[in-house]
Amino acid sequence: MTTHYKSVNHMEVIQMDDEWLALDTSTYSVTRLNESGGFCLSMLSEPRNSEDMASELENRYGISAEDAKRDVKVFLTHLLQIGLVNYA
Amino acid sequence: MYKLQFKVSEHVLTVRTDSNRIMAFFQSPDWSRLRINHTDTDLTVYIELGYGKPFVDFNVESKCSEKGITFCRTDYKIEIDPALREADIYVFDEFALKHALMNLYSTFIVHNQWGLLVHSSCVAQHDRAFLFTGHSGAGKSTAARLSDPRPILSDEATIIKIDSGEARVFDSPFRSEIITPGLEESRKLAGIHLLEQSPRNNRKRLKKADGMLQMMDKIFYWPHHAGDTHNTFVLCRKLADAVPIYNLEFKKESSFWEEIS
Repeated sequence: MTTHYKSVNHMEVIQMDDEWLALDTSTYSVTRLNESGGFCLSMLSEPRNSEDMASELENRYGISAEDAKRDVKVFLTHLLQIGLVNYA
Repeated sequence: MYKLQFKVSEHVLTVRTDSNRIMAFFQSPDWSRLRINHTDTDLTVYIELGYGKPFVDFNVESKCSEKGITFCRTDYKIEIDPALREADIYVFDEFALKHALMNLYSTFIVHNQWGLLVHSSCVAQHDRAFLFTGHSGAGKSTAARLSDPRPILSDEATIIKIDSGEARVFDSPFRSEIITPGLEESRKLAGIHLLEQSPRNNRKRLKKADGMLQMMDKIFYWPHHAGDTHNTFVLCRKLADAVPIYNLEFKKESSFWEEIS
């Protein structure tokens, strides 16, 4: 069975110049993301699996499938750890 | 029962108390220059002495329910009605009262999406205001003192209204040690400076995201409700959009103003 992920509801995301900030309104903590991190997070307003995310990242930024998979894995690991993304 | 009224920025604050000591607190120059008599009020506060124990630390516990918001520290307790129009403050002493009033006013302006109370000093130069902030001991009060004879708008907590792409600073009664005549008119905030003492003066502008992140922990805000936390976030973003934020390495002398204006 494929694992799906979704961003938590208690989160606000804004873009400032080429960076993204994600605020956890339950803890008043802010996480800074680069552009591709912001793009990954924007995908998770609906449940998504890591393969779909990597595919979209690959198409958007013209990177290799291997790099896209690695970037998505790093992103999900970090955001699951800090509680901004949950298993859907 | 005594009744006093003050104009704090654009808000009418009505204070009620039975205590002569509390009355004496509001006789200080910082507060007495804001005295008014008005029929309407934005926020009514009842204040009582005799609560809790002496100050231990800055840790504040908050609770929000349909009955309102409660903030508790060892030396004060604040109970605010859900509409944020009335509050009861119970304090151990005058130090606790000052902090409780800052907590209440910050909560009030954030809830109404009016602006922010920022841990900082702020100085007026002609029709503009310049804010100085940083970690504890960075030199906020020192920068304000070294700015003499420029008028000081705040030396501890700066009141900033954020509206229509502009930030304006009002005279703050939430003072630490510098007593000045105050200014009746607000000033447009033209720059925010994150202080770092240094052998030389140097000013460098930050990217907006960096500036916003730096400001988030300079706000007097105790999380109590997701909606108000959202408001804080939005207001910080508007502030970072409206006002340039700089790192300012400064020598402890007035020459740092050459980097600013």
